[in-house]
Amino acid sequence: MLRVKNLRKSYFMSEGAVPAVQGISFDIDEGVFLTLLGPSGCGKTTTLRCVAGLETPDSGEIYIGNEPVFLDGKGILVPPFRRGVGMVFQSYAIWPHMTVFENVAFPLVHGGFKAPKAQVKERVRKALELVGLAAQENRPAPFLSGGQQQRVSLARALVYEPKLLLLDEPLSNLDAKLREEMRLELRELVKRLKISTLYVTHDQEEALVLSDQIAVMSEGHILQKGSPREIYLDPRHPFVANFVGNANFIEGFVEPGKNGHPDFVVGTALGQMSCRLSSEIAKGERVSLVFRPEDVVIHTTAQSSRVNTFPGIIERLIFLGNRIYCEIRSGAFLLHGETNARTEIQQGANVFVEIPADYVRVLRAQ
Amino acid sequence: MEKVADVSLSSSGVQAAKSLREIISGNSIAVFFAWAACAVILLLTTLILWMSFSRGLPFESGFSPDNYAEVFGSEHFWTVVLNTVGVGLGTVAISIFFGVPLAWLLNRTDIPMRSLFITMLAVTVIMPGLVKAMGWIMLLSPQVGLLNRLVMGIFRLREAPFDINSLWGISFIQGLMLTPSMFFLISGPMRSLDSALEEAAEVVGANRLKIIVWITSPMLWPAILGGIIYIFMTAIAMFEVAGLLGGLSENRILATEIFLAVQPFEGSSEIKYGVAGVYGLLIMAPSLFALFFYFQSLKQAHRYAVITGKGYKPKDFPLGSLRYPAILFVLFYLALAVFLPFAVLLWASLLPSLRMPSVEALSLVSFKWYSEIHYLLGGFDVMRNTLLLVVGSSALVLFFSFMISWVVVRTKLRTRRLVDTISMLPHAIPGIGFAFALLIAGIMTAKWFPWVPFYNTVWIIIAGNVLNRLSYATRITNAALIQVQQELEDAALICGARKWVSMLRVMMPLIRPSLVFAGLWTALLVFREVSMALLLIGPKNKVLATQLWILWRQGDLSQASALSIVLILITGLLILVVQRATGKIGEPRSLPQLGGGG
Ligand SMILES: Nc1ncnc2c1ncn2[C@@H]1O[C@H](COP(=O)(O)OP(=O)(O)OP(=O)(O)O)[C@@H](O)[C@H]1O
Ligand SMILES: [Mg+2]
Repeated sequence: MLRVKNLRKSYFMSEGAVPAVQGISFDIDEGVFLTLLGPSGCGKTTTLRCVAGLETPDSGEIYIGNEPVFLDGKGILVPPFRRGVGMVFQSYAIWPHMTVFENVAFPLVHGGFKAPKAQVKERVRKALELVGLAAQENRPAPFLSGGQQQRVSLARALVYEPKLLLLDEPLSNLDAKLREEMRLELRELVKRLKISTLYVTHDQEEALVLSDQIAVMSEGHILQKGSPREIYLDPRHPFVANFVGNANFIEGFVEPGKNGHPDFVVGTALGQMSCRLSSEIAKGERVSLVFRPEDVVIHTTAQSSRVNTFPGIIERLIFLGNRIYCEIRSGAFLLHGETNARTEIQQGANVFVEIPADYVRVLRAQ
Repeated sequence: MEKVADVSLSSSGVQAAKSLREIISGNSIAVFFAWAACAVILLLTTLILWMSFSRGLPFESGFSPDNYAEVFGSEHFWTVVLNTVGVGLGTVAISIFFGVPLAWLLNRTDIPMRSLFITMLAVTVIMPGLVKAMGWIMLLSPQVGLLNRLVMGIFRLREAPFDINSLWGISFIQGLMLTPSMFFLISGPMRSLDSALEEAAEVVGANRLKIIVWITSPMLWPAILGGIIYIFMTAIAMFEVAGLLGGLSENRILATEIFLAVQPFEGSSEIKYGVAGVYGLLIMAPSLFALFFYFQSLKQAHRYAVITGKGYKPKDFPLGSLRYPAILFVLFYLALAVFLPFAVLLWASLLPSLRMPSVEALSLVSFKWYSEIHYLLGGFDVMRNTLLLVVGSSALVLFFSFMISWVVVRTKLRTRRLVDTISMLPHAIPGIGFAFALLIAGIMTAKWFPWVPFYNTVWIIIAGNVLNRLSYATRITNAALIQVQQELEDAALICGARKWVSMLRVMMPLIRPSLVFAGLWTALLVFREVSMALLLIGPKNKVLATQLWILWRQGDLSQASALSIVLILITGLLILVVQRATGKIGEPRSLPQLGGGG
């Protein structure tokens, strides 16, 4: 539905060029929900605006459907009003001089999706029902709550039934509770309408809940693309591991494995750790080991027989309600772990941490 | 859903894309009109320069320095220059004398009825300079002046103590006219002065007077300097007061010399366009130079305004028992600027001819002149011309300033800075300069393209007014457009609206209050504009303001008074409309930009 190839965009200002997007590529198949996830300023909005046609890329290719809307070589640039995408802006961009109805009807009345008068009312009402705002139809736009404005914005994007929906952090201005509700509602809605969606957020949880596919961005690059499961469980890049969920990082060198042992051993500050290596990584290479706090098992008694088990002292405990977050010092290394909220555990206690070999990712050190 | 695919992804969309590249990135409609306006500004400016080197019309005679020789060699030259500078400085002095204390009293002290007074200051534009001058002539002329006669009667003087027909008189009236401009120009900075600094001085034990002299004034200097430059520029380019008071032949200043050179109906025998061009340049020269400083001070005004925007509230200075003299001072200004001239005009308009109030005079009071108002207004043609002038000018000013602002504020074109600068040129070029250039352009048009209805039509006056008001209106639309978030416009494009649809349906309605405000103020100021109109009128394009001038010059004081009162009432009505429509009158930040007095 959407194909972006080698997209580049810099902004030119008096202080110099800002390379906002530096050659990114991705595809969205029919009906797929893809999220661009990344920290503030990594170029998510810029990418989205390039796709929408609001920003002219420096180079690259963009296809919507099978039609090119931007090809740098051939000088093709389809203006935004012909791209036929729906978009919800970070600020919602509800026009304050119009009512809810007029806002939603705009694309059908003045926009490029002209509909016969008789149909307009019908279709606007349908769109408003879709987002649960039918009752507020005649309300002037400024008299809406944040959540309602967000819904109007969505209804306006959906009323002309676009095949591609672009959403720029649509939930970031809502309070936590509403955000969670809207998150599910939104997913439900786009799935039902089978719209291909490009979603932008810096909230990893949102990305995990909503997406079919996630592309993690940093400083204008896409670092990894995959299903939420892949991204979370199999990060291919330390930044990805750290940005999506929490992670422990430890550096080391691959050492020759013992005979007949399936695992390799990596020498680290913690000591020798067994883990599964992909075939690309050779012996002697410098690597980063990545493992999640929730995969760390904390034992209060000695576990001499187990592998990857190291003694440590609890330096800090943070009670989070559904679990306890611990910082454990083992030698020079500070390790993050989590345990069940009901675990009886004290600060300063001597513990043994076990890091199951299956849950350790080995990444080539950067 | 199929429908969408048709609209957005049709192959025609891709084909058209190449030619549309400019349209979406370049906003070609706005660019076209913005540059059209800029081109006219530049052309007319060039024309003034050209004329100064030409003995006849452009293309018909070669270049020669003769005009300069004639002007600089004239016996009057130095008198004219000195008179002009004198009038400029005198006007500045009067407007500082009233404007600065007023700004301090009404912004930084606990004077009662503050907002009422501020509104009244804004509303003094109700009385055009021409009318004000007429009122003061009837008060202070040596022959008929009522105040003069009163003083002579009281002190048994043989000669009139005041002579309004002098450089002092011109300065006095122009100063009264421009005081509100001065007031509003320094009000912003005055408000945002950090009262903590003043308090600090108080803690150290400085007394109040010392605080004002040593702390408050120095901090205000940049703003006051900006005001001085602006007032000076406006004052030396103003024609109507000097024209009325000097009768064009006494008290000659540069602005009146331009007239003498080109308007034969005032008795000069020979039309000398080239000479007028030199005078025009002489008026412009200091203005162009001053424009630089003016921009600097405006920038600072901006900086101050940002501070005010954050809800910073300075402490009011307690006046104590000085409150009464303070109120008297404000009333004194208002009396001189509005009440007195208005009263004398009203009195004169009710009498067959001007005389001192007395029982006998009271018995002569009648509404005779008002019942002949149709004749005074100059008939249907004048009314129609005036209406066309006011409506046409405001509409065009709004249109062009919106287009210019669009290019300056909402595009990323590299040329936008240039557009911005050129559109500010009319700030520096006095209206009378443009009027002169238009006159030449008009004569050329009439000669070479007689079928173009321009010369001797209302359109030539409209053109002058549009150019003259463009910079002010552009500043308002600039400010308004800056405040509209980019995404509001983007959203319209995404919805499939073309650029001009988004302009029309989204951007214009969003800044409607500012457009209404700018439009109505333009209407008001165009309605009372007389300097340019006088230079550009012929038999067929008379308007109300010039009608008033003509009546007065014919010596029909009472009739002219009656017409003035009518004019004031119409202006007042317009002001009421502005107030109703926008509620913005007296909002200090909006007024100086409009150049209330200029
Ligand atoms: N109009 C602009 N002019 C100049 N630089 C810009 C402009 N818009 C964005 N940038 C810069 O480009 C980079 C990417 O910006 P972008 O808006 O795409 O970030 P983002 O990922 O959407 O961030 P956020 O999560 O904060 O919205 C940033 O460094 C930003 O400062
Ligand atoms: Mg963003």
